[in-house]
Amino acid sequence: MSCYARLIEQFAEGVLSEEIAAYTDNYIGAHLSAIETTYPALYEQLGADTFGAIAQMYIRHHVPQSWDINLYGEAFYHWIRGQTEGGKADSFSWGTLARIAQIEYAISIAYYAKESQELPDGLSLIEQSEQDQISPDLLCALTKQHPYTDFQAYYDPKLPIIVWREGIRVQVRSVAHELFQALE
Amino acid sequence: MAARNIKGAGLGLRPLHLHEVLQEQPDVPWFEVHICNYLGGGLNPFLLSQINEIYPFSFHGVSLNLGGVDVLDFDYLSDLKQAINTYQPVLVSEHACFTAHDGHFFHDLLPVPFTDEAVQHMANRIKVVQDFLGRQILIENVSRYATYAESQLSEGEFLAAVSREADCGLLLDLNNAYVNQHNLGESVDTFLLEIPVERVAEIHLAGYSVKEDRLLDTHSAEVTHEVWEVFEKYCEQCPMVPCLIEWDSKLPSFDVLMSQMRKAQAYMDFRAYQPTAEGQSCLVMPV
Repeated sequence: MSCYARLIEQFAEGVLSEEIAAYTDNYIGAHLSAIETTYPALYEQLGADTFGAIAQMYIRHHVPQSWDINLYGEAFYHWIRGQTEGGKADSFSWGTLARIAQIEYAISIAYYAKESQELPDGLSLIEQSEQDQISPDLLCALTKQHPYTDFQAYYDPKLPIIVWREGIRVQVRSVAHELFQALE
Repeated sequence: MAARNIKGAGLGLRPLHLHEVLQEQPDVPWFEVHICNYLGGGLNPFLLSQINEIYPFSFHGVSLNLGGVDVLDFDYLSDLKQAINTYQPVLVSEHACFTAHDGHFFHDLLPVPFTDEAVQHMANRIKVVQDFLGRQILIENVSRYATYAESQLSEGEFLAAVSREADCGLLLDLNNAYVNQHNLGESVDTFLLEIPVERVAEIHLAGYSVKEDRLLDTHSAEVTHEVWEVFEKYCEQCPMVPCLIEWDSKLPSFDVLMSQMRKAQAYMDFRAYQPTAEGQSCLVMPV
């Protein structure tokens, strides 16, 4: 390894190990902001303090692997679901919030997806479960926070959901199991 | 499509203002675009194409990792090249820093040591990028909150050497230079003396925030009095370099941005039409 490469590596390690605190703060702050942007409805449901605490732990455990910061937070809904085992297990309906988070990430993927010739642009497939049904309250939160997205008035918890972009609008639709399986 | 040149003071085009810019068509000579936000699909590129019919662009990127040691991302470069072909920006700029290491993306502008080896490393990568894009790029000085004991050169000497070696242009961020002066004790005047003026093709002005006794380059406020002073002094020497008001967070109303832009233009005009000691106007456009 060249001297230059070694210095770059040491600096990068210093940022992650909090030895270079100003840059560690920037790193956490930038990714926290990115997650807040991707998950606005979830942020609204949890509030700044709870959301911030969970997101900061997530950031410390998940390495950003794309130059595009808009794609960061892919596994955040798993992290949200995992809160059922945490200290605030009874404070929120974590399963339902994880479902909301999954939809919000899919919206972000569709929004930033390149145009595709074969599949609908930025297609994501989301399984549903009856215990995590999206309530009218949560649907309102999603609708308010995602102005470029078309939601249905009601999502049957027995049916899976697909998310994709059509022109300049993102679509979130329940579909039959047969279509879902075909898309899978 | 808008005329392909940029002059005077311009503004950064932020997603929040896309609709307003399209509807109001404000009197802005040019916009700088954070191109990383538009390389995918969706609504933003759609609006950007419409805005590009009216205004010329300068592209500004944060993801090339010119100071990094990971291999250059040619998928990203291909997307960038396609965007350049589509929007025909007058200038394309990046940063003199590293942004990723060993596959870990920091999404921050991390400083590099200012050594001879670093000059060669960064210049070689810039040459590869310029060859691939088929055009010259500018590199920008970054705000720094830590230094390397191993540095042998000042930042100005480093940028001068890299730009000479790579034959690239420079984007001079005067706010970053001022922040570095405050935080690291590096003189802005010395920095500006070391920068080859003939390579400077764009200026950035921005506002910082204060945390304890440290200045943070947050682009979240109006340009401060101190940075206007640095700009005024720079304009005495080079009043015609296109200048950008860079405001990225805590975005104000568009009127506030316009007011900052007009102020920058006023400084440029004042100096451009001031006779020099020899009785001549100093209207000299850097190459």
